[in-house]
Amino acid sequence: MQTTGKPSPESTSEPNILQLKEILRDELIRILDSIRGSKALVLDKEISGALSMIVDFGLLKEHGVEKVFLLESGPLDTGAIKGVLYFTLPHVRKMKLIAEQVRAGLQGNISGNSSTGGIPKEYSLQLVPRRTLLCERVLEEEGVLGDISIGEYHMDFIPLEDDVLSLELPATFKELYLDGDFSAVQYTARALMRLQGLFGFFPRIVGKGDFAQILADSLTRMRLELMSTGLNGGVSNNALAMSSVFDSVVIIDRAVDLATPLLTQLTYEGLISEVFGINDGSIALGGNANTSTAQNSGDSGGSTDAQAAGKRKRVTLNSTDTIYHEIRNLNFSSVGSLLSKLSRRLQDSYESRHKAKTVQEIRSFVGKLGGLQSEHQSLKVHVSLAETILKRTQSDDFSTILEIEQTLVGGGDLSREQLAYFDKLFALADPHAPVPGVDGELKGQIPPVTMPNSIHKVLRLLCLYSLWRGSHFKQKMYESWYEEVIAGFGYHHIITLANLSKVGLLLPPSSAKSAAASSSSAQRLTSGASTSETLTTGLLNSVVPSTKPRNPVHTNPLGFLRKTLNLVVSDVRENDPDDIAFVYSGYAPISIRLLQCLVRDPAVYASGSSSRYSALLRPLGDNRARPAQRDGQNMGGMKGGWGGWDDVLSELPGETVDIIQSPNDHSTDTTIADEMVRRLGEKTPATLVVFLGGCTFTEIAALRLLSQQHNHRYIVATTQIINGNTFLDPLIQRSI
Amino acid sequence: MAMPAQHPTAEWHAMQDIFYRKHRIYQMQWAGLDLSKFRVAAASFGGPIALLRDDRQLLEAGSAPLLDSAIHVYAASGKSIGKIEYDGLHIAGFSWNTREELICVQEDGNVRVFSLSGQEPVSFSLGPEAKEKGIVACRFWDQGLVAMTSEYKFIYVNDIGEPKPRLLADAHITEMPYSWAIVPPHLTLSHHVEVLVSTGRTVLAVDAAGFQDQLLDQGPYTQISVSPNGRLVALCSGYGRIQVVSIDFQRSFSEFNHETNEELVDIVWCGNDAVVVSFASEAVLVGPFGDALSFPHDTPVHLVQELDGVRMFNSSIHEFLFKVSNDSKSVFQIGSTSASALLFDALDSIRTHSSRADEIVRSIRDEMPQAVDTCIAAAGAEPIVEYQQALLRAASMGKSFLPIYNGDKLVDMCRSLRVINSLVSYNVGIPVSLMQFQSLPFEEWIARLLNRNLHQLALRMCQYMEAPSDQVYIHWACAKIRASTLDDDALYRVLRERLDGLQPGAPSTGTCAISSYVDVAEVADKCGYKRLAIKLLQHEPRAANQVPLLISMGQEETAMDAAIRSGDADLVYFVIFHLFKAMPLGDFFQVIGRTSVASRLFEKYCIELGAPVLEDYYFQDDAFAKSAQLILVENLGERDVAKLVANLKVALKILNNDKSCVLESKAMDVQIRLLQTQQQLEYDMSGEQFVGLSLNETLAKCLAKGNYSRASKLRNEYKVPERRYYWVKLHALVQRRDWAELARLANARKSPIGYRPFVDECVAALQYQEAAKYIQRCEPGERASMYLRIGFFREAAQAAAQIKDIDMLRQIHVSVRDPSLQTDIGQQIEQLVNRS
Repeated sequence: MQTTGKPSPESTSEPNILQLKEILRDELIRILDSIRGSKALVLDKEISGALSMIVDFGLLKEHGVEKVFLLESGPLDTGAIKGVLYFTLPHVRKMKLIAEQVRAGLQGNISGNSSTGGIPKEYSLQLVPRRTLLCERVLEEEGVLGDISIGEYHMDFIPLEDDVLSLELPATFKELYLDGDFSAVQYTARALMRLQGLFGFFPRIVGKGDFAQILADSLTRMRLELMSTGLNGGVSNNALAMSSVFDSVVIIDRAVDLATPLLTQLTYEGLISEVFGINDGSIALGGNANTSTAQNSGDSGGSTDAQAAGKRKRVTLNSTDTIYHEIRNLNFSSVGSLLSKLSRRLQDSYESRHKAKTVQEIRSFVGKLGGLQSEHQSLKVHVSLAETILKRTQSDDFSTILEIEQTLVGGGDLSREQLAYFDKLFALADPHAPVPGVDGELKGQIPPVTMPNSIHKVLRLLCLYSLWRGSHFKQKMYESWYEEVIAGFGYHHIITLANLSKVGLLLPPSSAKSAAASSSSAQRLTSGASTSETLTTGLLNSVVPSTKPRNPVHTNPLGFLRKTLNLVVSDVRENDPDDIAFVYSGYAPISIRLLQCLVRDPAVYASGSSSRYSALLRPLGDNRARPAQRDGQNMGGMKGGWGGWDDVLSELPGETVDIIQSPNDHSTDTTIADEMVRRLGEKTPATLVVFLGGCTFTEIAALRLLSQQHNHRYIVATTQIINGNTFLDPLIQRSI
Repeated sequence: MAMPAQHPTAEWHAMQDIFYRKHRIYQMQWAGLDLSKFRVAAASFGGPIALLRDDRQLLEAGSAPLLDSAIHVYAASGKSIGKIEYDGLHIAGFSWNTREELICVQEDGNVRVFSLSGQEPVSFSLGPEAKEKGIVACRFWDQGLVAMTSEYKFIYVNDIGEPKPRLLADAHITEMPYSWAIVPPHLTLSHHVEVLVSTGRTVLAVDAAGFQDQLLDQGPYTQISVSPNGRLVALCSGYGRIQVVSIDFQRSFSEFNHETNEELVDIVWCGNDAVVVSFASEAVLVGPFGDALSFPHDTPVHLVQELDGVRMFNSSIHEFLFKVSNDSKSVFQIGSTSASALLFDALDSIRTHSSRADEIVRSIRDEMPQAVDTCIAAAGAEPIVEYQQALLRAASMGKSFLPIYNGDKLVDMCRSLRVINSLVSYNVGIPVSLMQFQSLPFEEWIARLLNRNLHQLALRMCQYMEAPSDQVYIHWACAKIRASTLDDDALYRVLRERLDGLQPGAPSTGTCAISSYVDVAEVADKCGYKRLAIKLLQHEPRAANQVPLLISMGQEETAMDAAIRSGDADLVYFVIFHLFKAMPLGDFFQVIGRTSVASRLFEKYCIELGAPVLEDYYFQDDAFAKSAQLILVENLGERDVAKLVANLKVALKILNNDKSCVLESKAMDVQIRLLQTQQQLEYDMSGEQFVGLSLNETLAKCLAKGNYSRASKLRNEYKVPERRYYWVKLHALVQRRDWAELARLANARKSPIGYRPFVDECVAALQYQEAAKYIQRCEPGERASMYLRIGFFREAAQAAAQIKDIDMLRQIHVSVRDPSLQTDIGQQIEQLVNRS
């Protein structure tokens, strides 16, 4: 359909991760076919969106699905449908819901209840992404284990784009650091194993953070297991070969960079997520969201359709939309001009029909028409979205928040006016405000110009303050904020605040001091466990994972990192970015800077204080002098790993991972092949960047910029795409 | 070297242009056994034969050794390879599965599964229905079975590994079916098992959803058999009438009437197009076009259906009946002039140094590659070793006349045949054809050898086929432990001697590392070698595998360590639940409390499930803050204020124990008071709801209702900071449009939040006149832009002029629509510009 040149050299380039979708779909269909006859699907709300990205309802219907329900408490009325098939995450609470429904259904069977049609139901449960003993036990305790057959559906990485994979696991950060439940690490490890099965083993595993270490250990262990069983089970040597498309996997534990997700994202896609909330790759617009556009553009084709339908219209946001593909990663300040440029281009294309003289020319125009029309549609949608966002970004409220953020990351203290803004936030707190990204899609309403003062909005600022002010954060201020949050939002936030303190996002200054003292005395139960040793002892057996650096040299680690990693870039060119800091108009995410450290990107050396890294730079030639001329020849690949960055690493929380996976001893053939590849100097085309605990759209945008600059593909694999609201939400106690 | 007298074609039997071959594999070694006294189950793939004394048969006194109730297991060659002690419960049906496990379904509905060595049966029940009514008959497929109850209802189990017995639909059968058969799930359209039942004159097809009468009228059928590919059904009625119809009973393919007065005993398929029927004194093969071949026997034969033919055995001989392949036909058929036949002949000539050989080879020429391939394939299909050799030699010779020929095929065939021949040998007794051999993975065949404790042979075969041999070592080690009389340490040394050098990472020498020590350790543990088990476990590379065994050995702490090390939270839960069941609660808390990983996972589980045991845990652990939080969360939904207050008071009391929870205590205290206040407010202002609001909302609501004095009282009572109070009140008053009160608020004293918020709030409410009032009170520098925002251009101009802000004036100048005002402003700008 798309006739205008979609700038996608990636569609053919290695590795093609989109094939994962077919694998997931086939597996799903196999499960559906294993249940005979018509069936009702009952889906966990938290994965229904992800499932809809894998199959559409038509396909489900072809395979006997008659109705789809969401798993909710209360009885389930599937009418005369016999097979009931649950798909849920392995959560205890959901097992209880299912057990209740199964019991009710079975009682209906016995009494021949008319509501169930008297037909004996057959229940089955698919746990996603994995069947657990835990769930089986809960079902057993509830007494329904015998009445329901259990399987597992390996919904691992879902390709959202050709460079973004997501596990769509909610609340991973909270599970890891608040609950101490590291199941998600296991799921991620399994998903990565599947990826390695397709593309070969990652020659190198690097990463930062305690759970990054645990993930790396799991990967190493699983590889050993595969090798030993592989020899037995006849797994082909191919499956054990080193990857020729990935040079490494970089694991970023979200704990390493807590600050980034709290900031207001300033790319177009990031702002859509902040203002509308993107769920499962789409947003819902209210029936009248396009009214203004319809009037302004004077053409009311698409928008009146939406109005006529009288209900919410879903807008899918991905790179199949060519307009979106072009603007999604831009800083919002340059979106407006580009949109008008695009509309002019479109206009010209339409005009070309007048120039068409010959039949061939007319035919070619008509051929393009479909593409033009869809582009036209999409342009209208984006103009209207951009207008809504523009109203928001021009509001006083927005600019005040932005100034506060910039002041904090810049290392400054807040002005009196800025602090006075907090008074307003607290006093006019709105405990019931809808939160973009958390509460559906704002129920299809147009987002108000001023963001309501939700608990999320307030806590994002408080956490940022606590993180960046570090030792300057005064106990007195914390106490007054504590009181204000409770008074404004309700006493149940006693728990919220305790949670935030536990995960290190909003630490009471008094406890921060005592924690620092105690952690330095008893930080490791076994001293000096190196990477290889953790495999035999297990990291969790020796440390308690933490979001705080274990042995920081500096009293204010973030302050040190700001300087050393060149986090704040003053002259960022928003229209033609040369540094990833454009995603926050002048602030570069730590997570991405760490990746740049690994690949020796000069951007991290650009600050004045880093002359001592000149030795590291030398092999790169004088790239540093001419940053504009980076041709990527020397970048985009793991060189020396973390070597030379010890001072930075010690200011970051968690373990440092750097493992080189050697090729399998048994398969000499592949070793030789690998060797040959190396000798030919062939560059491995991609690096996988895993975000354990979620990543933001800005981080993805930043990696896309690096992919261009380095002429090397960075593929994102995350547990979920988050923004500040969805990041904090699991930590926030609901009132009921 | 002379060829054996028996040429292959001597065993051929023609049926039109197709040949069937009946090859004698064994002279049975159980000579003299009267099979008629037994119920027999023989496994396919040349598997074992189980004999169970048929208690419906009378037995002569003196036939002593077989009087017992045990199940006797023989190899296909009739060699005894084991005995399964059976405690005498009546067996309704028994059969081997593909893993050579014997599945026995008892009449009381219990199912027991025995491995070949007869140890540790797995058992399960077919459910209450089966237990009550009893099972009368069974049919089996790979891992599944269907059992018929005495009320002629069918219970099926899809996978005996995970038995979930279910009932098929009730077909309302009231009398014993004449016969019945199953269509296994992989052959049905629905992918679920179906049953065909002969009842009355028709056949019913029953599955889980319902049943269908096939409306036949030539029954009753005494035998039903479904073809291996599931497309055809063979039906037998009366004494020798055999009918083959399509699976949907819509089309009839062939019909055959065998003149006999013997009763039909058994029917199986030979390939997908022929059936073999056995009678008391003969077996009859019925071909696709209604032709038949008869094979008389002196005692009745038992039939075993194989992939590529039928095995038939009785008390003295064991034969294999199969279709002659085209390759064999091409080589051996009398008068064949095919290239392969010529090549085979040439071999003889060469042996006799005849020049004719050269002539023959010349005449083949172009067809040589094909001739070689045909000879190799024919060797694969040939059961007689001498002819295999001759064929392979012929192929090898023909190959040498070819400039380019990939010898892999020949080598592979030689290897496979060598392995097959040792499997077929009397000692092992697994009569298997090449096709059968290739349709199972090699490990399966090794496993069969291990089942028979033939470790040496298995190991040699692994080495010969360059396959991993660790399953052999593991099995050997287990067997060694079971049979050993040594003590822990000595046994450990013996085992290590063999298993050493097989460690992962050791230089590989074609063999490989033993991958799992857990299996060995498990056997050691079961045999009472606990120390040995622990020692062996230390070698296990997979933490996950160690855990269950460590637990069963009572090594809880090590198990917990291993579980945590595995990085798998689910495994930690496994240990936790075990401890929870096995220990007194107090001890459990202590053990859990020792590792933070376990205690946090336990907490999460309890919270998610709402388990009351968590309270006790927190209490024992002196976790005051957590206890209080738990109470708080549990009471979030509490609507009864008195109860809520009482519960929160308990929480507060607990919190007071913890000196680090000052803020929490304070907040809790405030909340308790607030709830009481709110209750009072609801009483005073009936119809309003206050309970559940936050402090700020409570204030705002009082103000919104115009109850200013009450708000003021609240403010004092709860020490609301001034700035917050101003903000809340300001917002509420603007909402309420109470401008007089707003003015009072502004004038009472200097606003602690300044006057800008007053302006902003009024503007937000679109009350520009009101806003203008407060603009005067703002900082002089801010006023002009504020006026401009609400369109008060004159005032804006004045304010701007006052502070001599030329830029602002210009901005106003542009926005103004009133021409006279525009002129005024223009002049003012000029003045200012001139002055500066």
